[in-house]
Amino acid sequence: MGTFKFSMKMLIRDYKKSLFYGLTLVFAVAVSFVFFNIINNNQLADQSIAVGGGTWQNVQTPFSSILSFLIICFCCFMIFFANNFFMTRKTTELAVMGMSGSGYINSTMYVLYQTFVLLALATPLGLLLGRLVIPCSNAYMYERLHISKDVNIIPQEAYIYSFLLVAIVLAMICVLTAGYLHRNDILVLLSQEKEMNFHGSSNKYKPLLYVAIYVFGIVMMFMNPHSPNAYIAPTLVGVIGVVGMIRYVLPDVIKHLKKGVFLTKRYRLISISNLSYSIQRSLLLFTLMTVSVTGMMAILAANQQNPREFVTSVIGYIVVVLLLVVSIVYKLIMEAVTRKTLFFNLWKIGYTRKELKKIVKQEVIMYYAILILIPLVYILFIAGRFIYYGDMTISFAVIFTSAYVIPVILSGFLTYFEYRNAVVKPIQGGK
Amino acid sequence: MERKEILVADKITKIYGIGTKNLFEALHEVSLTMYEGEFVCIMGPSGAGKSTFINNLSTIDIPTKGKVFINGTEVRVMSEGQIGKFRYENLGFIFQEFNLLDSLTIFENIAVPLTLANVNKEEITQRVHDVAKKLGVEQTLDKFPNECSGGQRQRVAICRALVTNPKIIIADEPTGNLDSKNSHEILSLFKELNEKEGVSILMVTHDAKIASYSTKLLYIKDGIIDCTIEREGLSQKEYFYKIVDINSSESQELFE
Ligand SMILES: Nc1ncnc2c1ncn2[C@@H]1O[C@H](COP(=O)(O)OP(=O)(O)OP(=O)(O)O)[C@@H](O)[C@H]1O
Ligand SMILES: [Mg+2]
Repeated sequence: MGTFKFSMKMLIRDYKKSLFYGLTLVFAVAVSFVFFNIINNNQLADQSIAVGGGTWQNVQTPFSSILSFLIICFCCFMIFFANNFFMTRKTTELAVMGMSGSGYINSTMYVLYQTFVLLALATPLGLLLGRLVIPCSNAYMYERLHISKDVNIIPQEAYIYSFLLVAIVLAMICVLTAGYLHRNDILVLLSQEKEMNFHGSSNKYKPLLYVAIYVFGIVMMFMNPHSPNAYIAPTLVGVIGVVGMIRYVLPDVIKHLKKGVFLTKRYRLISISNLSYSIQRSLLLFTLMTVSVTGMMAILAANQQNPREFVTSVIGYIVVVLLLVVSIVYKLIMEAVTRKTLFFNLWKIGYTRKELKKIVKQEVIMYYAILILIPLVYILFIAGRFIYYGDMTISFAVIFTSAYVIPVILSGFLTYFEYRNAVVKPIQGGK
Repeated sequence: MERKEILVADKITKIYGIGTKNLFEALHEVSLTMYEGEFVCIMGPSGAGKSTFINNLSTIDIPTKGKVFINGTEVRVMSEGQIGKFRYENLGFIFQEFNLLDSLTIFENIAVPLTLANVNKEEITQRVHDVAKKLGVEQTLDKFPNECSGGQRQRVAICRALVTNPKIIIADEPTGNLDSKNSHEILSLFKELNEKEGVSILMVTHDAKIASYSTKLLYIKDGIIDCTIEREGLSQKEYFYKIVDINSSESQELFE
């Protein structure tokens, strides 16, 4: 009872900490609902078979259903990501609870009560949001497929599956929360200081290996004969290279830069250290972004002629980029908040606020430049191949690329302002 | 006089980094018996294992080898629930980082352990005000932690540790952020709790003056108890000089 009260009190007081999680939940439920609507909509079954008198059952699972399914899985993943984040921000109160004698079960329940409430609020909101979007997505697809049907009709299964999904997510969250608290005892919770440690490479050849893998992915594209699906394997290879480069090459490069040319550069030294740390902290998101964007490029290009597939992919693409961009911004801003003291100390030793802003700016610009460049190389090669073989118009490639680059640049601005407000603005008071 | 043993450490060893290449033995077979009503102070150079020792002694951490008994029961055989109950009923923790919750007012921060134990509102208000008065943070009760000074926050953390009327206070450098006047006020309060209410205290400090309030001093060095001194009949001043002596024999080595 006491735990419940405390849990609710903290949820209300600390609503800002739950905001990201809550919004992710709403969004994920809405997206899943929209895609369950696509999967379960008989009207959208493969037209040739439907026209030929076949029933829904003997229609082969269309690709758009698989894609919808993947996007729903992606949403679940984002929920777990947000959940994990939610947990890591609760360490202080969990430690205080431990000191006050709350056992493992109480601590777990403390988090779960909050999760239950959030999910209970997010589910109806998400369904409502989905309900508003579905007529639009339906209308678009019906128009493309020349179907005349009331766009407001939503198959019952879409609701049922959405609720089922929420139930599954809930069960998973319970397991994850219990697991997280089990692994982190009070001592760990008390000392959740974010140490900046890099796992620099011990092996000289490891960085080279990953650069080679990244390049090999590109070479692979030219080895396979051109076909819409030929770019999935090379992309996967490339991603392995990307992850390895970020983990092993980047810290090395930065270390050398810091020892060499940047040692005497007043701002660079700090911004680049922060940058390296930020990238390591968001490695997973970084990877996902690369996989999704390049993968989606290949899928979209392959399905330009099938409206149902194409629309599903477009919506999917928007959802994925949006969710990832928001998560990255969020993650970076959270990271920034932990640097308050660092910047305050820099100010104390004589950096001006203007210089501090510059440091922030440099870090943010470099971060987003890397985020854009790494997948861009692959996108350009894939698009180039498609255009060369006449399977893609240049305008399509441009639209696709800007659909990636523009949101990323926008989020860069957002990150910069939020970051600056978090670390430089508080200094103004002189404190 | 029959004295009750409340905390017993029996040859506890703590090894950090198990499962990795860099094993580090922070404590080596340390034993201690702490009786009810004792005021034990722990000193020693930085990195000697003081925090490790009190964490292991107070259920916050589990030793790699050896046993810890609280009230005669071995910690390892106690259930989560039992340890939790023991913590709530007996222990008040004060750490160097205050671990205050930024989104709660000072009042609410102090009240957290009571809220969790589902104590009723009137009693919470009463107890929080009492303890806040004792530590001179009454005026800050409606403020938020970031509107308070470092010393005030430290005192609030102490309030939170004391609000459950613990029988044992576990404190890791509780006066680290306080000026000497404030430190001595708090130590006087500890001393009063210790003498009048029989509260036992286990405290780490670097300050010999602070340590001179204790009844027993352990000097830890390189993971073992290097020496122990008891105050027994000495005046606080004499005891203080003895403590200084131990500490300075340590620093003496610097000049050799
Ligand atoms: N989690 C950990 N992992 C590995 N080694 C640790 C860990 N915590 C402490 N140590 C090591 O154990 C030794 C004792 O640490 P401890 O924190 O107990 O020292 P201390 O006496 O409290 O020092 P201080 O006065 O600086 O607080 C130190 O050498 C420290 O490096
Ligand atoms: Mg310590």
